[in-house]
Amino acid sequence: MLKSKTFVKRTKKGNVVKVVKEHYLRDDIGTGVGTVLQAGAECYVIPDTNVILHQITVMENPVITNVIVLQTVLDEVKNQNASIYNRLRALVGMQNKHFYVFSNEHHKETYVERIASESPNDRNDRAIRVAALWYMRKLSESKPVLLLTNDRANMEKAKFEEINVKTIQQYVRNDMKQHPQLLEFLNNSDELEEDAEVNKSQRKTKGVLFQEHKSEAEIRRGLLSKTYITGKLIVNRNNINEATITPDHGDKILIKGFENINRAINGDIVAVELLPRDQWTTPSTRIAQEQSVSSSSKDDHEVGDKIPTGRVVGITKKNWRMYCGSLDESTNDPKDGLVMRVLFSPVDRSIPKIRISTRQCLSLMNKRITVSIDEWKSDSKFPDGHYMSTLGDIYNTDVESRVILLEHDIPHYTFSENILNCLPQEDWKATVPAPNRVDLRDEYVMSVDPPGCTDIDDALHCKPLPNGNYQIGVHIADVTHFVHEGSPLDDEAAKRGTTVYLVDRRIEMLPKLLTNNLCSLVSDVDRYAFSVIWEVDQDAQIIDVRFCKSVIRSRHSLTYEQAQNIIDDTNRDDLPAQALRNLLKFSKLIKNRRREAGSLSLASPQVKFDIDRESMNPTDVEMYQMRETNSLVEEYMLLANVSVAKKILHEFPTLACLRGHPRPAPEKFDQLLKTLSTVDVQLDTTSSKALNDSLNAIDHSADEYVDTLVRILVTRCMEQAIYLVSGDHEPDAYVHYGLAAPLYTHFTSPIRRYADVIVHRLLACSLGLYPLSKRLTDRELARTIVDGLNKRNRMAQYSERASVELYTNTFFANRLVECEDAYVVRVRSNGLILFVPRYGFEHNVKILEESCQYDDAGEYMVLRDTIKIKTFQRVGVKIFVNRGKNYRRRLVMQVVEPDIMFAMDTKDLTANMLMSGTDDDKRKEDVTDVTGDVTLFEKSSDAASEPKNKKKKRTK
Amino acid sequence: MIKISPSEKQFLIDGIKQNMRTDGRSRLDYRAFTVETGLVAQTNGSARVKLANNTDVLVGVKVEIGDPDPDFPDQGRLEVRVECSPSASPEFEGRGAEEMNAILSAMLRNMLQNARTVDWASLCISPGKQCWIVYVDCLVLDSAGNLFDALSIATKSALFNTKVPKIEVMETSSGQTEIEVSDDPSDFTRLSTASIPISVTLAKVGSRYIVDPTIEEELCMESRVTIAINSKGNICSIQKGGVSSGINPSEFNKMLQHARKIGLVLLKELDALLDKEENNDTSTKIGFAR
Repeated sequence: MLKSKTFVKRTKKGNVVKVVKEHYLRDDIGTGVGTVLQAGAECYVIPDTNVILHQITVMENPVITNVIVLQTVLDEVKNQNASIYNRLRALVGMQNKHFYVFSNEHHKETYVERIASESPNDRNDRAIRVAALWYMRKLSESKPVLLLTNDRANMEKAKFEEINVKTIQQYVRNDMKQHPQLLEFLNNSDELEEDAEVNKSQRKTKGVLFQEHKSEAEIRRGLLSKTYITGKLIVNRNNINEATITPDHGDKILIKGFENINRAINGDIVAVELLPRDQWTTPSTRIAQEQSVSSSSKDDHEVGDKIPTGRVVGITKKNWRMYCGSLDESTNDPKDGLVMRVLFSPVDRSIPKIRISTRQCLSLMNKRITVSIDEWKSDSKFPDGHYMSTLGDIYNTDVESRVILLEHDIPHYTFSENILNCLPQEDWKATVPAPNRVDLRDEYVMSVDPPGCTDIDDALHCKPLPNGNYQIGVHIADVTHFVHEGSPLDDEAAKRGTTVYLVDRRIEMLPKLLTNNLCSLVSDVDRYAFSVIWEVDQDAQIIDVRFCKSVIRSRHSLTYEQAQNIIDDTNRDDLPAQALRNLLKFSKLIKNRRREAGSLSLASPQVKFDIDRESMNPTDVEMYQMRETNSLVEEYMLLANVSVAKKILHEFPTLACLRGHPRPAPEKFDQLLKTLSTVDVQLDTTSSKALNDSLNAIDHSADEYVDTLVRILVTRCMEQAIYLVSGDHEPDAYVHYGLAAPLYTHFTSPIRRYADVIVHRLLACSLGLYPLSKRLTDRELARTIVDGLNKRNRMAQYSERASVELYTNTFFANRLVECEDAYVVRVRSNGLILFVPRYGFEHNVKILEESCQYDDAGEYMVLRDTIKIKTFQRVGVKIFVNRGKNYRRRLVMQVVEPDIMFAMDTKDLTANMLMSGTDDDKRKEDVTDVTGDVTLFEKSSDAASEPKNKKKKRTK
Repeated sequence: MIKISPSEKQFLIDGIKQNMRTDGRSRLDYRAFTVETGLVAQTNGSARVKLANNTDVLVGVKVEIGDPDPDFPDQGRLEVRVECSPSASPEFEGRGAEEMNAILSAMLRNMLQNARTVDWASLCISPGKQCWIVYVDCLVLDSAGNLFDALSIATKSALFNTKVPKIEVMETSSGQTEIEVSDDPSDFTRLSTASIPISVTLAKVGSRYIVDPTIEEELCMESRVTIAINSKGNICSIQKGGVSSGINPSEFNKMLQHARKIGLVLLKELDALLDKEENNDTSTKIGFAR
């Protein structure tokens, strides 16, 4: 039977059109539930939309089975919350959960048409009731059906229609009594009053703390009339009572005080109303005590210009997710077995504490748990949430690493069955000859990697040609031979985007079989590769370049050290030694040329932890060591990437996936230049070449390390390098500033980066090996993938840094460093920023303002009229870990040489730390990881580029 | 162009002289007509009118938001288009229908685009910026004479059937308007169609005149007068066509009187039919299947 669905909608252009869709009804859809109730359930449960939306965690519990998901519910959930929809979909896919989807909208007997004057919600409720009735009629007495709804009107109508109906609370508390664990997950925010058992007595009606949010229509109107401004709320990590939004057009708006933030959570898209001009204020320079619910802006220290200040009137898109954290450490008298309402303190400091009810309060103490937010009422100081899972003990490095992964949204589950099914057999052998593949097994190919490297994705060869020139080949693992476009494996790799290297683990983008075995270019085995082969003359000028898929057989898998030894061993003059020496010679020439073109040599501190295998605790920290051979390999990788970038852009001007590094905005250097001028260091930032030259010209005779320090500081002024689709940008944007390359891409590490996989495919198409597939030509898709990659990369970097921080803290938790060298990076009015070369981190030291005189122009401070501290001065520091509230470990640094302990602010060692500076902290965050391409090494080898070294160092 | 033989022509003329037309009607008899509304789901209003099962026209009305006519910034806009389907008559094949299309659309536009017929001001959304544009698309499916009247009846019916989505207009400070649509499809406004006239066509054949000519009679006529009459019995527009030299004023006067009388009857009949259509449960209608 055919029906038509008619509705009126507004188009993007603002027109109003009538839309008519055909809707087919069938009469041959069965109940789908089989003949018996599965898994010992007593009845079939039909939840309504809100039950799914609010209680998805309950639904996910293994004891809830035999659930009928109506299409009406599914559609509504899909419209309202994509993430819950995916979770529901996953549940339906699980065999043992026995969730059934019933297409009630397409069944003749359960389809209902909206009656005039009926709201869409009422119509859907009716559809759900009609479907429930249908099931009651179809199923026998022995298989009862239970409708779950927390909507009073719906429930009354259902009762009237003699449908078996309960609220989720009644169901969990009474019917599922034998599973008390469900209560933990129950979200009681939508509870009907008569069901409320504990809450009413406990939740005293307090005065309303927050202004009600405006309705959706009001917000939309307000945004149009420009009385409201919308943007993503960024909460100051050092002060949860202060946040900002940066609208698309216009200046940043400050929101101060927790009433004004009005229950919005970091990352929410909010609508903000500007306060009258006389209430505008400045970002605080002090830190508020942890979550004190003090009234808004009674700031003691207001300096600088007042900026637009506003208050949140509504939230247009909530960014609520699952949060990792722990129960509040100061919870009084935790008990098990009794429902207790306790506060949960998230790891992420920009998230407020969350109130949850739990029966296992005692067992959850000192554990990392995950919690999600259910709602935030206007009379409640904290949002209400519910417990989801326990991760493990606090401070356990394994648990904390998992926290890092969860908090950065890094997919770290094991690969699923259907992904593993895409893999070839374990005993896969390269077949030779293979179509479209050049046999290069006779070439003397070698790989050079860090010790213990298992995923070798590149190898090199070099040989003299009869005409006096040389042939140099770079061979990259042919990952796309195994990862077929559009396969589940490919989708998963695209989703993961990159392999993430934490200090103690590696979250791989591809399954182990590929990374460590079939793709890895190990020695003495035939392997498929994608080769870039150059012919260069004596001066390393490229005469010719060609690309081909190949079969290679690596002769040696060398470590950097071994390779270095071979080169240095004057007694050796065999084939590998000659090849390596030639490679080194050419790499130096190429590097010099790159340097002359203006490629930056920057620095970023990199440390390596020695980890005790047993306890997984770090036993030592050291800087990563670099050899000549590191930069040798790197140079050829850069060259290969540049050559490939040219090729794919030439072939596919609009589809090429490139890596661009925007030139930093000149104002980014302002603060640095001012600081540097106080110590007579001049930088020319007009171009990367000028910058590099002025960096090289720094006089560091007084202290060698100053040079590195300046390079580290310059690194922080850089923009983030990003992947881009060439067709979306002007050619100006293709430039890689750090490498001074007009074109750059990622080609050389397909095992651990998805961008390289795309580039491999494009290159293969450009060689005519494959036709250009639909997916590759879909620019919309390419854009989504590339945006995803950029986000994943950023997250990977943040998590890597968080992991280093975790290990640093663990390292110092067991030791006290009495006096370590540190350099003053910047002097501020109430503290110093110090950098400790040995451990490669930077830290703040708070100085009491009353005990020092600060000179703003010269950026130095004088203590007790005699001790002067200025930028780049070397000081001695004491380092230890202070355990703050809620299990927060903070590294504390105190200057002991010169002895200025009298000026140290020690009174609130437990509180956060110093010198908030709203955006300062954020800036630091944004720039420390500048690029990923411009990594920085030690002084001796000041190459900029491939994060290759970064990866391998941690590969154990 | 269809042609008839001189003898057949003479036969028709002679018949009319004796007040006996080939289909049995007298000179001032109108053919029975049927009206169906709400047939085309995609439109906002539609109607199909048949004159004695032979002349068959379908009118669809779509309303969209657009820019108003700069000359009438505070009114809605009307767009009329008539298309004579080649299936209706061999003369509409190729470019043959163009002239007819133009004549018919001009006539309909004249009839409707009068400030008093439809409350055009009510279709203004934001003066000078946005208004509803009413697209009247007419399709002639079969022609057995008197397309003018059939189209005018169908157009009035389709406009009567038209449901304009209810919108809420917000004026932003920057002077732009923002439109919100009600999510309830049963929430709509109707056009005021009571004062839309219908036309009555009189054809002068020989020395006599007849109403509602068939296609053969149209071939014999010397001149044609199409007179639009509204429900008050007022004459809204007059259009003369045909090949003859002219009409005698006194005869013309008589023609007007007759047209007025017939028009009022037709309007009454049409109103009754439309009311009946409206009260039918339209939700059971699917496409043209009845």
